[in-house]
Amino acid sequence: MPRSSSIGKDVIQKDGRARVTGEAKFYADYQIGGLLQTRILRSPYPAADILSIDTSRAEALPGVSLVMTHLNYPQAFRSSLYYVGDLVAAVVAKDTETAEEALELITVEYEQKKFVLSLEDAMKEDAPEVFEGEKNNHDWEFHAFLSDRDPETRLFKTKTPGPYNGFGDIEKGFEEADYIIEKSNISYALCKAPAMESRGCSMNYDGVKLQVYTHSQGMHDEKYALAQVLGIGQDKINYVSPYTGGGFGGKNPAVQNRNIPSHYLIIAGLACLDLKKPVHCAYSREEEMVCAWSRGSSVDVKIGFKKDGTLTTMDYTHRQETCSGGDKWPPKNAMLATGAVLYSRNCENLRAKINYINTNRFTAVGWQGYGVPEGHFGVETTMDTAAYELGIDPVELRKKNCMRAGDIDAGWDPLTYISAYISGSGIEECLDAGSERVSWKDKWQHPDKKASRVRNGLGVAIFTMGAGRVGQGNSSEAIVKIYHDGSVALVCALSDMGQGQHTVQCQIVAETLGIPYERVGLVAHDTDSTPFATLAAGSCGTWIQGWATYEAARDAKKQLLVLAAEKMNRKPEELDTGTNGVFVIADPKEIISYQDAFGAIGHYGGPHEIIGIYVNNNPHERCLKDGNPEHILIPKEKGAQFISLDVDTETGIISNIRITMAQNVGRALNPKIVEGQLSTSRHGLDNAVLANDCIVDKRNGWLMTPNLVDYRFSTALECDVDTVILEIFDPSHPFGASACGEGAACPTLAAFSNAIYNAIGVRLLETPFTPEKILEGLGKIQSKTKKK
Amino acid sequence: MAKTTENILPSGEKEHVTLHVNGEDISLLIEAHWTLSKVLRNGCSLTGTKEACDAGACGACTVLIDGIARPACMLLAREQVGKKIETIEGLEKNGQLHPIQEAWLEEYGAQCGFCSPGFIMTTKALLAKNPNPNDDEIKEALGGNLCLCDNYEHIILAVKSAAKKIAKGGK
Amino acid sequence: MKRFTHINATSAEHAVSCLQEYKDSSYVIAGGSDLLGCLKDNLWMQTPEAIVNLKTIEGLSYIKEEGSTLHIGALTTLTEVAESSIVKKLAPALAEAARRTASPLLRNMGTLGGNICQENRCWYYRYPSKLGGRIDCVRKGGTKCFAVIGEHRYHSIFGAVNKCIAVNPSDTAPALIALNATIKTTKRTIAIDEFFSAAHGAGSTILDRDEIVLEILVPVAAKSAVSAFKKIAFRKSIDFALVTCAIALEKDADKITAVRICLNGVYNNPMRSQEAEEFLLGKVLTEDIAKEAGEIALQNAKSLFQNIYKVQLAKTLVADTLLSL
Repeated sequence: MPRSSSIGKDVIQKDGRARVTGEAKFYADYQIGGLLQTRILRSPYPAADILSIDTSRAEALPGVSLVMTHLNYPQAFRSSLYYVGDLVAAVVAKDTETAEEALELITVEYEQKKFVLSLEDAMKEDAPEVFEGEKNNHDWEFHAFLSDRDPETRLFKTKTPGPYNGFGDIEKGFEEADYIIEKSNISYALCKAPAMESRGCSMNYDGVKLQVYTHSQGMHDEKYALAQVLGIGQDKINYVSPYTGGGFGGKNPAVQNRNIPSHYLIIAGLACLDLKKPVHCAYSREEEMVCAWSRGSSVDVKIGFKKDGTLTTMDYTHRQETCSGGDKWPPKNAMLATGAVLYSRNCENLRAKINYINTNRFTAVGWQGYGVPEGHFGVETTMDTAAYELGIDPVELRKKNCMRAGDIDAGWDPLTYISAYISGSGIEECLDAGSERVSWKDKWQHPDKKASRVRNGLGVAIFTMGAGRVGQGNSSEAIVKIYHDGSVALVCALSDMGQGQHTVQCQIVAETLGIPYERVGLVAHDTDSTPFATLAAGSCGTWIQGWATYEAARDAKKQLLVLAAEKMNRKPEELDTGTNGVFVIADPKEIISYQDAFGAIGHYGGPHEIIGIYVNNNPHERCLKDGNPEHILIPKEKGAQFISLDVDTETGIISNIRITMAQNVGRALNPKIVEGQLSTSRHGLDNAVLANDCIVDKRNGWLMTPNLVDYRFSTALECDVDTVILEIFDPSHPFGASACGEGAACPTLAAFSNAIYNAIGVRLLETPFTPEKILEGLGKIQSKTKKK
Repeated sequence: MAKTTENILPSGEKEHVTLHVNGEDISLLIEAHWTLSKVLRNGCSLTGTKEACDAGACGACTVLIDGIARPACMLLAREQVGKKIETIEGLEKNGQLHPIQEAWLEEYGAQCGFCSPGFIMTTKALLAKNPNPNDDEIKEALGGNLCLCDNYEHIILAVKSAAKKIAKGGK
Repeated sequence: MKRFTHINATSAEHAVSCLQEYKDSSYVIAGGSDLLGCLKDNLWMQTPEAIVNLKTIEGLSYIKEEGSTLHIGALTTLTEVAESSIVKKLAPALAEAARRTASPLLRNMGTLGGNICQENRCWYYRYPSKLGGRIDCVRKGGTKCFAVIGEHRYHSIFGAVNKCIAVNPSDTAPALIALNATIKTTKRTIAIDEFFSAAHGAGSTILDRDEIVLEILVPVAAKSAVSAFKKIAFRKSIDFALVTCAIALEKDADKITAVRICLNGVYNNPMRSQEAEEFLLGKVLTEDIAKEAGEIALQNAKSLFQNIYKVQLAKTLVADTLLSL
């Protein structure tokens, strides 16, 4: 075979060797001479104003280089504080001990203010305002109503601002429904984005540039933001981020937004530029637990069905607790769970209303799934309730109503398109394959039939998650270089925080050029050496970056074929590239080496490297149905998750958990990476049954679980994850892939709730599903009062 | 009876010590409160040992002390003098990966890789004690190491594959 | 972590003299997993001046059977206790308790002596100073317990001691109580029933500040004696218990002739259930009898708003542990 193929194979992780030898340099591993250390003084109160702050004693302490407060650095620090742990001051010193000692020498006079610590309380009329002069409860300002549906294409043509997202006639829909199933206050307790590596950075001004060593999900985006905040040109910053120790959304700082705690960048940046000395600023695990992204919400779902189980109408209300931070965007992703996407097949009428609410808790910003898990928890538990009430098998009810390829995505992303074609689904196939794997038909039993002390439950939930965004800000670029020795470099800034994009993108290059994967090298470590790449978020890398990489490789190949054609007396279109060189397609034995295709180089001149380049201002033209720019094919993550578990009815303890994750990935470009991504279903388990919500003392606003002892993430012992990978070619991708990533944790809360119901007949709609709630549901214990 | 002034390192003072790390003696100046993970990273430039939770609850900083897997963030450097310390950097020999590292690479045991050095060191101790562990024994032995990418299926496969490689004479 | 003076003790006497010299401002370090946690979080109102390392004292790590007593050196690691064939055979409840403590990595450093002397895990008590300053609760000399009116889902279901409702977190403590161990220190020998004392200052034992545990002695009971330990926790590793239960009993022709039951995670001290023990004496163990014993063990429970469920957990655990014997 002249061409080599690596797509669909478990090739070795591109930068894997360094990860298993300890050589991989995460940001904190850069050893910089004379690196100053930073420690942060944090607010003891959930709401307060700083009346006065005296730093003179701290400044006088030998070894202290700089003390930063709102007085000398108003661009980073504020005089008003909005949560326990909010930024009061920072000390930069020769070592951590000195910095910590200096913190204790700062005297602050606070004026405590009224505060509010729960979503419920924050929505009350007389609630204290988190941000003065601003009601806590905000209507989402981007609601849009879709109308004017084309009878042929089913696409909507008109989008108008409105009081909610939706389409059709909600009132009429419910009037005409045979069954209405309604659940309210389905609550997803605040929980934290996981990542092994806590956040931080080291900065060094080298006389020319500010070198920023950090982790990142999108280093170019971050660089732009940081340059703006520091007031220097983007050309004066080089962002160095070769490795990122887990992200899940949390390594996407909002440098400009002071309500969102990614202050390590601005603190280190300002200090480094002013002191002209290298500065390290990092969050301890405790600080990370306060500052890390978290999500929490409460939703209501009302669904109308026809007698046969056809879902026609959905009313969805979403209240997102944004706490003292400002990320109001996750709820738009919750729309994916509704009749806008997941149940778009039969849903004619949709009303989805979003509110976001401030409280005086640490910042909430979306992570893995970014609103999708919250939406699915609501919709998929309500669907499950419907299945039992309508007497329809939960799998069958979903099969009847779930989205198919070609159904209409009714604008889950209200900023970028009116509506679009769903490029691929396969949820029905996932339901079938998953059912078979778990022996659903043999093992599923109605909870009424279960009586033993330990009861097995089997639950299912389906899901969809974005797999790529279109429109402004969602472009990505790639450069592919071919060298005369036949080696190739992919130059691409896309972050690999463990999700495998460095590997997959190199596979795409290898496949396009027909060369062995091992010959593709990667340039990805900093912004100076790479062109812009999309933020690695929303499971978009395979799609948005994938097109750029593929086209850049094709561009390079095209150039090489022109060079080779001259030497071979052939036309470029007669030729192809492969393992050993450029060959004639019709007669692969006629081949010249890469070296010969380049001709003489070195002092003799000639092209030394071929540079292919592509900017994917997506959607790529092949993602347009019939080339019509309004007929976008938009990919999704999608599948079905089954959970089997045992509930001990005497203790409420859940054990023997097995998660079966069936997902249609279009094409598994690297099956091992796909399996690894699906195993992140455990993040749902963490939030469902390990009782790791962010418990805050109601009187003082202290986060009570700010460490990895009291805040529990899964160990190897908590469950098994079994994967069922389906590959139904997706037309919106050069190799038929869509995505797998964030989706794995999206259905998990609902699947757990549904499995628990199937075991014991108790419907739990508030996470986490603790022994206390299970025992209460079973009537084994009675609460002394209604617990808040 | 010994006096209290013996074997003492007063607060704020530094002491010359020799740590035996990966077969080499490393001379260092340390303070009493410095943890082994700090000293390995900052003093020995062995940054493969990661710090993640600073509470002994995640295993990212696992090193072997006389062959026993322990979290270096919860050990005082001064108390490790005279012991045989092994870190992730000590596994690769002459450019040749250790069989556990090979297995990790082949089975995609690392996602982000931040937990990998710790897991690999725990695995080294496990396989030294139990060369052919079953799934349950592996899970139990890895119970102190967190992988927040949740890559446990691959990690378990990697441990099993490493056991086979070592049995075949890999190391 | 703040600076401290570090002393490698050469003998138990040396260690004691160090503690005397530094008086209230010193702690001993064995495995260190609990102590370093407290120091890193800077949670005490006074940072200790000196840390005295016990690991440099020779001869404090061993497991041996002598006569009718199992001798375990205080510095024996929990892994060694859990994996010891002698302990597994003669004191299975202790072996299992050690096996279920924390995680494998922490068991490799944590010692049996340290495990029974560890600080409590109350969130308020352990709140790190980094996040706006430590919380000076009643246990540290402050004026009030924040958990009583705050978050107490994992706290005592048998009321407070000196206003504090934290629970004893040790997994091996209930096993040692069930097995009727004695603790040998640098000063005296203490029956395990007398060892834990939440009323005694900030610690959880009756030890004086200059007193060090040297050895744990477990009587080797009659051949018919059996013992078991069970733990309920969220994760199967790392986590501190919601509730644990250890029981040792002897039978004669199916009838219970001796029994010791101890719960932990339910009260400031490990909680022996003497009423349940008395109830069981002379009875043949059946499911109903075991359940009744569980009810009796919890009959005086005084749960708070958030921890009612722990009563149910503890009841069930007593019955389950009994039935496993």
